[in-house]
Amino acid sequence: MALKVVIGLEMHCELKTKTKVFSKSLNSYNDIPNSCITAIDLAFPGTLPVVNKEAVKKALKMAICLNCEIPEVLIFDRKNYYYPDVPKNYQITQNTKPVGINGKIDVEVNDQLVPITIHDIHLEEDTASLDHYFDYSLIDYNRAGVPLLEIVTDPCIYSPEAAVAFLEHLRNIYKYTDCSEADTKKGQIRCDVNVSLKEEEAKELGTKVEVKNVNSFSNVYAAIIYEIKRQTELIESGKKDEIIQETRRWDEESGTTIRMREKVESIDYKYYVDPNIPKIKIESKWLEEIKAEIPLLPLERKAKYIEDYNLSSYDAGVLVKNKEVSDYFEECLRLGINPKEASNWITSQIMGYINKHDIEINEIFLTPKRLLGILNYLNKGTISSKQAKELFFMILEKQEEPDILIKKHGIEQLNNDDELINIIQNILDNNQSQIDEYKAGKTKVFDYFIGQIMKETKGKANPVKAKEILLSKLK
Amino acid sequence: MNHKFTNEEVTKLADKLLIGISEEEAKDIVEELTFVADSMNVISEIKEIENLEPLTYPFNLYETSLREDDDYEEGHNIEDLLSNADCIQGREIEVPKVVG
Repeated sequence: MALKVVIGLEMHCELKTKTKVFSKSLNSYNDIPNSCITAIDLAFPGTLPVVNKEAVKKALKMAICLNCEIPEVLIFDRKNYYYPDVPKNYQITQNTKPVGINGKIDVEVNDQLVPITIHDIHLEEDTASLDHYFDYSLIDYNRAGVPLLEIVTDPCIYSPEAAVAFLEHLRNIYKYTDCSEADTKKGQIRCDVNVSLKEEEAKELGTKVEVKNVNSFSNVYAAIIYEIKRQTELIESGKKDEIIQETRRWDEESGTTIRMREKVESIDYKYYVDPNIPKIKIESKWLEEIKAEIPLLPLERKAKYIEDYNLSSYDAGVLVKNKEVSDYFEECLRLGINPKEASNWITSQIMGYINKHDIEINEIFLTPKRLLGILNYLNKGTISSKQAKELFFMILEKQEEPDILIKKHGIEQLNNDDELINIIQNILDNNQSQIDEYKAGKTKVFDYFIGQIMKETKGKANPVKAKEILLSKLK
Repeated sequence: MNHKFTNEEVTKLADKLLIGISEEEAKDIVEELTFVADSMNVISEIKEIENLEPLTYPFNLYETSLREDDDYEEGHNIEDLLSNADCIQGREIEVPKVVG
């Protein structure tokens, strides 16, 4: 019996704004605990939430990017539940008229475009963060009220790879549009993953298990793999009934999911329209303005790189996968660097360096302008490609300008014909037996001579010139 | 709406909402809810009220001005805020651990 996995995702992402979604407290990460809170965040009596325009704008921008239907009027609702992370005993969210419904986006999975349909996108307030200790928890309300966008897909994803590709794609859109920093390390993204299995041909979905609050994409992948294995084993051993609709959590330490609660006992949230927030009419003129602000998104940039700059699909894909990398590439082009040359340096040398050191491209000292410095020397023939690579690492490590390093370390290609002729002649004079071998047909000896030239010039000889001179001398 | 609230029903609702209430409290809540229900019944008697869309805000105010995201407000004095909490640790509020 072939089983098919069906996955639905709920991705929460904090939006980038100066202030919180309903109050004027700072939306700031990693501040001193309980320092960015006002009476509104704590729901003191008599306070009224006032909706942040920028948060609504960014939520709408995401809804446009995901091709959603946007209602004429937005409504905020109260989701009632009792938990220490929500000081009001309800969370302001959207249930009746969210910012977007019925969206659709194509995601690239192994070079294939896979359609993902979006059930809805809603803007809500984040909850306080809880730090759990042995027998107590501490509450920091700084996060309470931070604008949070929840994107809910339909159960339309059929592999863990597609799930992660979708999340990465969304993270990119958040970054490209500057709607969020979308940094998982800062806890700005959290996912709920719904996993069920069904027989390949079955029309009805299997029993859904929800894995809550997964905080990284690698954990989303691992949680899905684990659930597929767990549910498959239960089905194959005739214990299908043991798969129940429930909420589980991902336990990173054991690499398993652990039952939190059964859905049948789940809390009734008793949603109702928040009477403190008037309905918000979305003017079509405003929507047009927001639309006009959306830059080229990753897949559009990729297509442009392939078409306009003749890059390979692979290289273009590597460049757009990270917005900062793509921006770096575009800055290189703005400075006049040849697109292929820029792409080669970024995808090989620079990516290799930042991946090895686990840093971001905008953290390195080698800015596009400094890369241009290297390339100018290289293209003028002042330095060889080997020297260019040496200079590249020197700039990164010593954090000094290319001009200064070139002078300081005498990095220069030996281009002077007379000097090269002298050196080569000298080497030939001392290696008569190798010349004889070469002339007898042992052409590999040629490389031996090149090696000698490089040794003699400490790698500075212009290799093209050196080869030319050597060839003429050996004739 | 002629619903009669009972102690049992209120206790069940409290349980759903994860609130522990005593029998005495349940009795008080039944009284309060009965008062609310009676008041609602008065409204329900208005002729053809079922044809009206429920109002969720005092005015049908669609042209709302949203708040510009520029000014921010300094956080409240933490000592003042923490003085409302029963149990604190440093700048944070301490609560019983709620997840395993």
